[in-house]
Amino acid sequence: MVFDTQTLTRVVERCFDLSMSGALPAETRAQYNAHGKRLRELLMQLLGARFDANSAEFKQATDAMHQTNHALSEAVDDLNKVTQAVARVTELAGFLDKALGVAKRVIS
Amino acid sequence: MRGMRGGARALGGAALALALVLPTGCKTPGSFREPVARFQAGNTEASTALGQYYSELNRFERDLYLDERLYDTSLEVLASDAAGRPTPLVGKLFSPESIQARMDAIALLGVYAERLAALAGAENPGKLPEASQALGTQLGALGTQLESLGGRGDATASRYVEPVTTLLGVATSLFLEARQGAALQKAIEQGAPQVNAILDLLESDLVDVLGPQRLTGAKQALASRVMFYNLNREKLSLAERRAVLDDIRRASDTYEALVVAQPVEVARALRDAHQALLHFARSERKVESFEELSAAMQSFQGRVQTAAAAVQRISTSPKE
Repeated sequence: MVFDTQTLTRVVERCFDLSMSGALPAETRAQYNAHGKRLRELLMQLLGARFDANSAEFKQATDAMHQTNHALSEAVDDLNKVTQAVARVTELAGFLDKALGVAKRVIS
Repeated sequence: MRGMRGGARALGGAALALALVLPTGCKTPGSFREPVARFQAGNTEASTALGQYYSELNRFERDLYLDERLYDTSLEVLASDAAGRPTPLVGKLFSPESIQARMDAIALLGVYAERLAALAGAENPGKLPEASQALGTQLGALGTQLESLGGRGDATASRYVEPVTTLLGVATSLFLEARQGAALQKAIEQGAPQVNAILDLLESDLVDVLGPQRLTGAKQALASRVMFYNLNREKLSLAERRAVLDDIRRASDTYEALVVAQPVEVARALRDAHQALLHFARSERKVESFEELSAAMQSFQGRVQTAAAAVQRISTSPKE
């Protein structure tokens, strides 16, 4: 069951507002203050329950995010391999360059 | 000689072909680098602020519980109430496992941003260009050797060596960057539903749970002080009244900061920034889209900095 925390929040705040209102006698203000505290306690219990209930959804979303991050990690590795392949071609070109240098000396 | 001329023609043809391969718009994925780096920086700051907010959930209730007893001498400090339930002094209204579930989700958003940055080359911007440039240089040297080995032959052939090898370096660079861009586009596209799912949950938490907790708590702290002052003002000395009134002022400032701060703005800024990245990836990274993305990332960083500073301000306990 989903409850309206926003409305309950406004009611709690209204109680505290009235506990500070000069339009009310001191005794009534004290009563509103007590009501505000009591209602807030109940609100916190409801919020705590909702917070815990939502945790399952968080865990589900977290698992999905794990998979996304894993796929990303593989993409990074994949790109590194391509970069390494270019580096290897560069290395090969370097070897050929040296070999041709030797060949040139032999021919001349 | 004839062979050398043929080689020169072939080099010329290759140069032309490579030149035609180069895209005129130059929509290189290098464009991703700066915005993704900004996204990562903003994400780190947002994660720190949100993490701090979550980690203080139970502490906030404990501080408020003690704060209430500071201003109401009729209340005892107890570990459990008359019904045997734990009080906020030792109890955990918000279970540590549930808080950890949020912290894990926030941390994973950070990992996602880090991986995107790694893919965009934000951590090592010179890596790809260096690799392709080195290849171009090496091939240039090789071309010179080949030319020299072939004897004097066709002198015009040497004119093609440099442009061809340079173009080859550029083409390699574009190839690598195209691979990088495609990988980034795929990553952002595939990550979007998961990122949005986490941000939806965080936003819902911040609006429906954390917001009401903080707002009502800050209002209670203010009301307790006001009640105490009004009931005891005639018995207090000037110095004591000054101290209590200062305390009321601070509690009022905290409440006002909470109303203005809107910590949910951190999650909303993150969502907008990720949406801008997604839009950029989908719009084939055009120059106009890049300008929009760059502006969106700057705005994101600004929003996160403001919201994170506000979260920091309201993270102080009611007494402080």
